[in-house]
Amino acid sequence: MHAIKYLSSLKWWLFSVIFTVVAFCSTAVKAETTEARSPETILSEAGDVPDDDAVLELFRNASSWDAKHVDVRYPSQDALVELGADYLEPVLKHYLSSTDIRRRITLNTVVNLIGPPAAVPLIPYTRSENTVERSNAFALLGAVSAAARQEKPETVGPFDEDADISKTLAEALTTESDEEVLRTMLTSAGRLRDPSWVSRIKPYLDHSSEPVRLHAVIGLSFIPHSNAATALMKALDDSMGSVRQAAVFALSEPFMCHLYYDNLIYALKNTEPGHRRQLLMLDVLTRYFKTIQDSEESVSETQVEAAINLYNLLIPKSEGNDIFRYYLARMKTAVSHW
Amino acid sequence: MNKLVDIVKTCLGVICAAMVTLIAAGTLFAADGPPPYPPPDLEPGGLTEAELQVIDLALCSILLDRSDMSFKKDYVDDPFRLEAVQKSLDDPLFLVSWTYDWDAFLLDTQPLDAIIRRAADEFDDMSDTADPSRPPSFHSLEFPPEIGIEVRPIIERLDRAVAIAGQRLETRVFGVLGDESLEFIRSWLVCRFFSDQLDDYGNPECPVEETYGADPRFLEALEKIPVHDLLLIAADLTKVVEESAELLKQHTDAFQNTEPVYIQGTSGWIAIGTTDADVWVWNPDKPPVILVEPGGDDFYRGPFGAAGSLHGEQLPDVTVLIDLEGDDVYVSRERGQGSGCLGIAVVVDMDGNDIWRAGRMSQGSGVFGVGILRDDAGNDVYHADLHVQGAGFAGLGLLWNGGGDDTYRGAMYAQGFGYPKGFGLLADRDGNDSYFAGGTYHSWPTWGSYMLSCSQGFAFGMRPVASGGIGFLHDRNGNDVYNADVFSQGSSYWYGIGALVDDAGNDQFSAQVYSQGAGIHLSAGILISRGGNDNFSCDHQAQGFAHDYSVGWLINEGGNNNYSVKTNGQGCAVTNSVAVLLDREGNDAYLTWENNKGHGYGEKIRGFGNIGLQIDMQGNDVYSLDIAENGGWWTLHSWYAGIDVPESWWHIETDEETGEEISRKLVIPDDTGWRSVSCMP
Repeated sequence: MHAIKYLSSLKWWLFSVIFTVVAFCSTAVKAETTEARSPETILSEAGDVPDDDAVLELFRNASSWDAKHVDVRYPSQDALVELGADYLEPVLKHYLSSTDIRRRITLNTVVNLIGPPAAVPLIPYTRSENTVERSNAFALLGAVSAAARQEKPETVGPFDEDADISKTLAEALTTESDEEVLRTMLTSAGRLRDPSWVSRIKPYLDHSSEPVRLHAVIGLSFIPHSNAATALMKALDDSMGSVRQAAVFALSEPFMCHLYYDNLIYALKNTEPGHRRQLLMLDVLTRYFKTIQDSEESVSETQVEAAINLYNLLIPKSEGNDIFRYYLARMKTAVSHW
Repeated sequence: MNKLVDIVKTCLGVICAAMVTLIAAGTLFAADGPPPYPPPDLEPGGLTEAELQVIDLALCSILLDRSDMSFKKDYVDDPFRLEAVQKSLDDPLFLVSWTYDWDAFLLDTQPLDAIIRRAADEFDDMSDTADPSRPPSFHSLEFPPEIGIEVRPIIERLDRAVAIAGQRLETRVFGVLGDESLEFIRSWLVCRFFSDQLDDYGNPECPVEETYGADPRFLEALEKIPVHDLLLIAADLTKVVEESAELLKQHTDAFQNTEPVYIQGTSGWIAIGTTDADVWVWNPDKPPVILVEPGGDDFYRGPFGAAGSLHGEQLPDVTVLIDLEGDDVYVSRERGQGSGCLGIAVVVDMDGNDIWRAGRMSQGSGVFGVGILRDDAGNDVYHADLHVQGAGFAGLGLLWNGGGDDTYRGAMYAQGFGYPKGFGLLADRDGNDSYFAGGTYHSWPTWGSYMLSCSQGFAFGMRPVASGGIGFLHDRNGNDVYNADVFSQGSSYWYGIGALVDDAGNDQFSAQVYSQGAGIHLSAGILISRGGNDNFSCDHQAQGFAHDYSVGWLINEGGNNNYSVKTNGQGCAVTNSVAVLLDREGNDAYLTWENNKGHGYGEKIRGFGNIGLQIDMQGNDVYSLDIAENGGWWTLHSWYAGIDVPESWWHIETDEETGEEISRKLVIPDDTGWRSVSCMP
């Protein structure tokens, strides 16, 4: 009787053990099938030369934002950056024109972190028949250029490392007709900081499309050269406020304003009082002084004196025009700091 | 003898037909008379000349004019863009006039078929397919003797209308889609809407789609479906249903049956209830294509008023439910109560305090179809889950409520929601209503601690492959309460129009993010309150807000109003957008306190700026930020401005005897420098 009882209790004990083991195994199997693989596992399985599948798995890990990938997302991104430009091709092939914003953001991040070497696999895509691929390739080329990596905005190009990018852009600009692609090309061309590009970008300030004109201004805004500033002055008369705004922002950047400050003061004195162009230039001047103030840099006494003289010259002409007076007062406040 | 009986029968038939025709004519004529719910004392609205003048002045002060609002905002193309959406982005003032036009229309329009036809005009995807050359062959209905002869022709007419609608749907919509697309959509929609895990990242049980993408087979079907044609078919059917309901209401005593009866019609089973309380439990063996319930407090359980079949469903392609009287309870765990999913459903409840409770795609939901729910009177309660209460996706969802104090509760995609090629409209005529949307689906990962609403006049696109539709919430009268979370109250995301118009009453608007006249990511949102003392509160990104090539308007015509938003609101445009908050009258309070981002605000990004305006036309107003003041104008940068019009600018003519104001005219002093629309040379 005792033996039966003993066996009976053993049966339940055995059942419990088996149940626990099965449950554990099934959980483990489930975990294995649902968890993302770590980059170490992917790369160790792939061997010395990771194949396309391994690279793509790393990329999917890096560009998946769900809970399943939370631990592998950034390590996978780091692994891709470490693999470098030589392994970008499969990623570009599959994801350069992806509509998935997560893929796009991750691709941009990886390419940017790889830097100038990434230009090599990107350049063939600038000749793609797919306009999205072309546009994205040009945008990334601008971002990975050596010029775009310079910390000081006043640093002038061209840089030897960017020769292929510049050549690619120059060739494509003669044939490209798609406005979306043109926009990214103009921005990227500007990012090379090469003064020789001013004359090639400038004609697009007269383009019939507002976004193209806007991006011509944005492109010119990267080039620290007086010719770029002169071209940007022209955009203050654009028919669209967005283009005019962009020109104001570009011209008021200290590195740009330094280059043509005297010309700006001259133009302000010789424009019809209260004219929109004049007020936009006053806005440029105000922003310039304010930006320098915020960055805790200094302004030359000559510039301050010129601005005060300008104020004194224009204030009598602003009688009966509140807006004109307001813009002058704002400029004076910004200058007064100095 | 038999011949004599036949002759008598024929004569009776002719007399009945003549009576029906006369009554129908009378009903149609009566439609020109005053509607049962008189509209509030409102003229069709719009921006006044003075307001346009002040908008011009505000733009002028930042060296812009109206044409500068039209900078390019449509950087992504797809074939699903609605014309109204495109025009609203091209010209933000168009959005205002478009919304006011719809408001003027909804103020007075009673027959739903007219509303459906107008909605159809928003779609230009007419197909070349003609109606079938021959109508279906009808057979006379075998009515039991308890069903009076007065109502028989009406029910026969309904039967024919449903059969014709079914045939037209088959030819002009399903025929255009094709069998393969239809089959795909039937299963795709189940994955999209009936998953247990609804978030941006899809249902793990369904085929994986690129996030922010879509299955090309779905896009193909979306492009093919002729929504315009679909809506016209629904409008024709709805016209017959509404007329029939009015006629049946006059003959409830013709229903002498003591038990519900089923009749085999040309369109399918026709169920007729009694004048007492009936309990309707869904019987899949006898799914009623037409259900006429003449009276009593009835109970419905199951997918009554649901048309079209997803995978796993066996429902008619077209269905009609008419309940003439009583306090009714409608309950469905699944779809129902005006749910047209690859079908057309029309539900009309003419009286009583009703309770409507359903699952997803219900209560005026059209998905690749049309779903209409009309409740004429009584204090009603609506409770449903997802894509409900006036929600349209490749079709129309319309919830129309006549009068009474109503309560609406939906989880997401509710209360005027438009998905691609969809128009969702919730129109409530009268009463003090309460709207709630949210509480179920997390806004993960962007706003993890909040819940998604996507409701109360919200349009949604499938970024970046399909532009959104139109979501419209229209409340004509009463003191209403609107409560929601993320994405709500006249807002939209990705090439849609989200609009909320409240015509009259003292209202409360409460939300969390991206709400109260907000356009988000190449989209347009507008909230118009036309009267009453209102309270607006939101955490951020609201009250005339626009982000990423978008347009957002909040217009308040009257009353003493309170606006509260922590940051990024009240005429705040970021990331190259246009946003306006305009208040016409009253003593208002504007409260915003974080980062100085309010009272007309914009930022530079992508190399250029925005247009953010805050305009208050009258009254003694208070502002929380130092930059703004009563009777002042302000701007820190050339991309945003605020104007609180000084009282001295108004030339007011008063009645000499009573001292009452007769008229007022805005005269801007010359020395402001603000000269004209063209601003300055």
